[in-house]
Amino acid sequence: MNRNNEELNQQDIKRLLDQSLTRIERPTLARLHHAREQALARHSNPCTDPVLVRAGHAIWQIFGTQYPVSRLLAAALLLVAILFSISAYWNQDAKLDSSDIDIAILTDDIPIHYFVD
Amino acid sequence: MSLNRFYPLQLSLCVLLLIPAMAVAQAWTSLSPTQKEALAPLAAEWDTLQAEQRRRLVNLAKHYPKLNAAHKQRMHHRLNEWSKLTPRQRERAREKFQAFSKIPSETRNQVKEMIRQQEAAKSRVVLTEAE
Repeated sequence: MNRNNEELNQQDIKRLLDQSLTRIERPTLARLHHAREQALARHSNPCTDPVLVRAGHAIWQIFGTQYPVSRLLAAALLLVAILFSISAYWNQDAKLDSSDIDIAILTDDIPIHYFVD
Repeated sequence: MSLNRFYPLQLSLCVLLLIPAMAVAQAWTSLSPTQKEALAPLAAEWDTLQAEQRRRLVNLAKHYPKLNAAHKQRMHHRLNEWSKLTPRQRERAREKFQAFSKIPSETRNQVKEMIRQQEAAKSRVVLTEAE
């Protein structure tokens, strides 16, 4: 009984899918066909690019083709991140440059231990 | 799609990843002869010092060529003691020194004179004990 139900269900599903297929409009069919061909092409040519390149490619595909403005925004954000990192590095370096005071302490008349807790 | 379009992105990412590498501590062998001369008292322990301390000391070495002989000698004499302090102690010493530098020069000279007398008295005690 259960098996009959299952078979019927599977047949129903197949029938419904076939019916849906006939109702799909021609442009949609063409896009699906194109996507299928692209997927098959990718599958038959395994990618040998490094992971970073593939990641970049995927990001570019998502943001680059769909949202051209987002592509510019992503590039701008990356540039800002780089500038921020460089700025933080140089600020840190400037913070560490207490050499004017250090040299004065090391050459002053007063021994160091008078300034040490 | 050509991968050439992604090279700027990859290059940028590489630059971003290389920035922390710029902060790596300098080895003793990578120092210039002038820096080595300035920091000579720390040669033996240089590679055990923290990266931040090494960067501070490298900055300090820039001043060395401008010092007179007496000050060079004094700096060398004090460098070991200075490097053995904790970062907190060095920071406190800087704060105290800066505060001391801001008081009127007359008061500062009086304090210096008192310290000079104290140090002379200490030296006399050490000499007496040695005898």
